Amino acid sequence: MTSHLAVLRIHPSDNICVALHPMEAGTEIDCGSIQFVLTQDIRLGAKLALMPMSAGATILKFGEPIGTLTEDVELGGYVHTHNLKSEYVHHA
Amino acid sequence: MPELSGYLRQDGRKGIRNIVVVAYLVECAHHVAAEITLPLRENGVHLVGFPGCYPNAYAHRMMENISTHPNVGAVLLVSLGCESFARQELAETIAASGRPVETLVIQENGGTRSTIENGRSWVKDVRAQLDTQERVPMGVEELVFGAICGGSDATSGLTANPAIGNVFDILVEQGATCIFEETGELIGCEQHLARRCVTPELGDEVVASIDKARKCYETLGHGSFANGNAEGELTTQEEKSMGAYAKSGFGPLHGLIKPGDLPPGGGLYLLDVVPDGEVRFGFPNIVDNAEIGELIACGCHLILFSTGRGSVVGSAVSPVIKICGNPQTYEKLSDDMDLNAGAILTDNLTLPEVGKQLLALAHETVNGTPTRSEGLCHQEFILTYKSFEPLGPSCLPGF
Repeated sequence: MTSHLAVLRIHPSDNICVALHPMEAGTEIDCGSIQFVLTQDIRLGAKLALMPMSAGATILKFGEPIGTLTEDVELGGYVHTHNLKSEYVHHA
Repeated sequence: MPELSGYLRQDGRKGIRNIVVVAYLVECAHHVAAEITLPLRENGVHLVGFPGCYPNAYAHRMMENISTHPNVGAVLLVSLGCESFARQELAETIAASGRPVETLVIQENGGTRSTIENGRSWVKDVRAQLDTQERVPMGVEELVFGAICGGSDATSGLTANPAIGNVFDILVEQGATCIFEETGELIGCEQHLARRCVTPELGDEVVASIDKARKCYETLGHGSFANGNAEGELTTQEEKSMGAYAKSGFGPLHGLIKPGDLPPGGGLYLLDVVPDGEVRFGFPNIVDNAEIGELIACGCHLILFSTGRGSVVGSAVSPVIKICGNPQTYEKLSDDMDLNAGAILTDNLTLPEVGKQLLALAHETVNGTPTRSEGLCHQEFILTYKSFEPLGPSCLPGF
C-alpha cells in the first residue's frame, strides 16, 4: 500500500519538494540527485527545501512563486507559515 | 459512454433530479419552511431560502434561477408576509417556466401550525405528481458541471483537483459545459489563465476579475485562506491558488460568468463570485455552500467537490460528488466520500485512472444513483447579500 516515492518535486524548477507521507525525524530522503535527512517529524504535504536558501528567496512550487522566505533555510529544512510569507494576500 | 437520462423541462433543459423546493423568502419564514420539508426530505423535498428582509437584486436572481433550475420540478414559496422580497414576481417567473408553484403567506394562513399543515399537504400532492414523470434520453452536451474545492490541503493540488481537471478536459471535449470558481483562489495564476483564454480581451477580463478579488481581500484583511489550510501544509494564498487552479484542466477558457449567468454553450467557464463595486455586505463567500449555490444558479446539474481536510457537505437541488485528495482523511471519513483520489499517493494509481473512476461516478449520479452526501440528506443552502454589475462585452466571445 506504500508508494515508492517519499517526496515529490512537482516541477523541475521547484526549489522545494512535497512529502507524500507523514515521516519521522531521521528519515533519509532521496529526491532525484538530492539527498538529505529529516531533522523533524513532518506531516503529509510538508514542503522541504531542496537547497540551502537565504531569507528573501522566492519559493517555487508547481514551477510558480508561492511566497518569500523570511529566514534562512538549510537543505531539507521545513518551509511553512513560520518562514514563508505571501506576496499577495497577508492573513493573520 | 453509458446512456444518460433526465427530466425534460418546458424550456428544453433537462434535470437529473426532480426536486420539490420549499423556499423561505425571509429568515422569519425559515422555521415554518424547514418544518414543511422535515418529514419529506428523504423524498426529494429540499429547503432553500434568502434570510434578508430588504430587497437585493442578486438574491432575487439567485432565487429565480434556483427555482427554475432543471433539477427542480415544483416550488413552494413560504413568506412571512411583511418582508420586501418580490414574492409575486418570483411566483410568476416559476409559473411561466411550467412548474407547479404555490405561495403560502404565514400572516394570512393562520400562523405557524396551519401553514406547516397546508405546506406539507401541497408538497405531498405535487411530489406524487412528479413521481409519475418519466426520464428521457439526455446527451452529455446538455449537462452543466461545476467544480469547487473546500477544506483544501497540500494533497488537493496533487490528486483531487487535477483529477477534476482531467475530467473537465474530457467533458468539454464531449461538448459539456464545465464551470469552475473562484477568482480569489486564482490569485497568482492570472497570467497563466489569461493565456488559456480564447481571446486576448477575455484574458483581460479574467485578469481584472482576479485583481478585483485581490483588492476585496485586502480591504477585508482576509483571503480565502483558513487555519485548516495551514494545518494541511498550505502556506500562502498563492500556493492554495496553484492547487485550486488544477481543477480547471488544461483546455481553453471560453468565458467568464457571474452568479446567475447561464453559459450560452458547451465549454469551460470561470465563475466570478466576488461582488462588483465597493466592498459591501462583508465577505464575498462566507462558506463553500455559498459558492455551490452560485454554481447551481448558473445551471450546474452536478457539483464535483474536492477536499483534503474533509468537508462533508452536500447541497440542496444539485448532487455533490465528494472527491477526497488526502488518503489519511479518506480513511477517517470514507462514509462521506465518493472517491479516494488519495490512492494516487498510496496505491500508485495514475491521474487518468482516477479521472476514469470520477467520470463513471458522474455518469451514475446523472442517472439517479445518490451520492454519499445525498444519501446522508446533506442539503445545505446559504444565500446572502451581494451586488454585481452586468458582464463586460468581452466575457463571452464567440456566443
